[in-house]
Amino acid sequence: MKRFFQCLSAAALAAVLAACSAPRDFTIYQETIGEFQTATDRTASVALDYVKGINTFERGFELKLLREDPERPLIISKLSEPILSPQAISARDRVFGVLKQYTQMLASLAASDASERWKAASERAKASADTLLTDLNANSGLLGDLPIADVTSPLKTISDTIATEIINARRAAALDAAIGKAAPAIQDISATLRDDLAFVVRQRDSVKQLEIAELTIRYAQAQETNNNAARLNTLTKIDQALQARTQSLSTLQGLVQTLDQFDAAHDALVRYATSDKSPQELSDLISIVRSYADSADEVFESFRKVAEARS
Amino acid sequence: MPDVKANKALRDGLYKCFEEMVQKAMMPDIPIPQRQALLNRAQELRTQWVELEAARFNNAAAGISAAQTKILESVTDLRRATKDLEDAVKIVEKATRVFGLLDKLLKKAVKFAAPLI
Repeated sequence: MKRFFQCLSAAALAAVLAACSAPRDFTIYQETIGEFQTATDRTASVALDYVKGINTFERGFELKLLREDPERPLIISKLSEPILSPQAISARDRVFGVLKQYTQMLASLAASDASERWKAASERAKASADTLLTDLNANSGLLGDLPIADVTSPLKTISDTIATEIINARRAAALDAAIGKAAPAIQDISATLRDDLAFVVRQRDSVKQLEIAELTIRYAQAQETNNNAARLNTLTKIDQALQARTQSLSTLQGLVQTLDQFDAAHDALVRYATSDKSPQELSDLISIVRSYADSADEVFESFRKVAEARS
Repeated sequence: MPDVKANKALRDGLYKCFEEMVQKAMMPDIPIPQRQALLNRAQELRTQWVELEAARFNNAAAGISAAQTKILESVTDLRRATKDLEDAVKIVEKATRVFGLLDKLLKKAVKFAAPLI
């Protein structure tokens, strides 16, 4: 019997500990938002690095062409004037900051327990007003000439107004209006950033394509002159260039896909903020954000490796 | 910078031409001088395409700024909505205390008045 009670106590203790260690939905939500912000930071840092590198890359390519082709005319503006204006680059720089600010605000509003506190506080206020109202009516005879009706009527109005929870409705409308205003703007920004990244992808890939085409011509020249050593040397270079192209394309296209997932994660956050926040809705949000975070991690790692290889 | 306002289809079309030219420059059945000429033409097409893309990038800054303004307005609206609700909670909590206090005063007044009636 004693052993039975020991087992029972151990089971009860385990159950209590499990209940204590199980994170509340709010904690899970906060973690999810943290993942979303980290993923956006990483996507932004990689995307901005590539976008900011457009000018340097283009200038470097022009210098390479000038070195390789003695006949190439030197157009000084191609070296002295950046193709992208500093204002346009700063606009991209700022835009990620604004996106982050907006999602943080949306997230904190969705996580806020203010609406629950409002509900509890308004219920207490209504109960308190009703008690006062009942007591005033019950004792109206005792209070003689006091203008009880002047008090009870507004008190009844206050009680009824609280019961309708109009502020909750106002808050929901304000939230919907704010999201409604931001959503198209976020889509515009996302589309522009996608165009920017597509530019980066093609800018880098086009140079790789030219390099490979040039090597194939050199290979044909080596064949024509029966220079086997030059032919084999060129073949090795072709192989390396093809591998480098595949790796570079994979990183850059991964970045464009991460931007698609940012859109999906943002949509999920908006849906959650305006929903009843059921466990299913939270679960949907978590899985979409996690997929975005995983993708952002992969791109960030891949980018880090490319950057390390460059330096 | 080019004067023409190039849309996405035009930019994509130009890039496609560039890629076709590069593919031709790699064809082993074409004589080497012609392949070199195709490669040079591909380089020129790339230069034109970069100019069009750069023009789009620079022009898009105005659109981005407008979108940013909308989002910042939205952030302000969200902040206000949250503050409104927090204020409402505070007011209702104060009202509850006042109602409770009035009820206590009423009960004391009734107790005091009862023996006199």
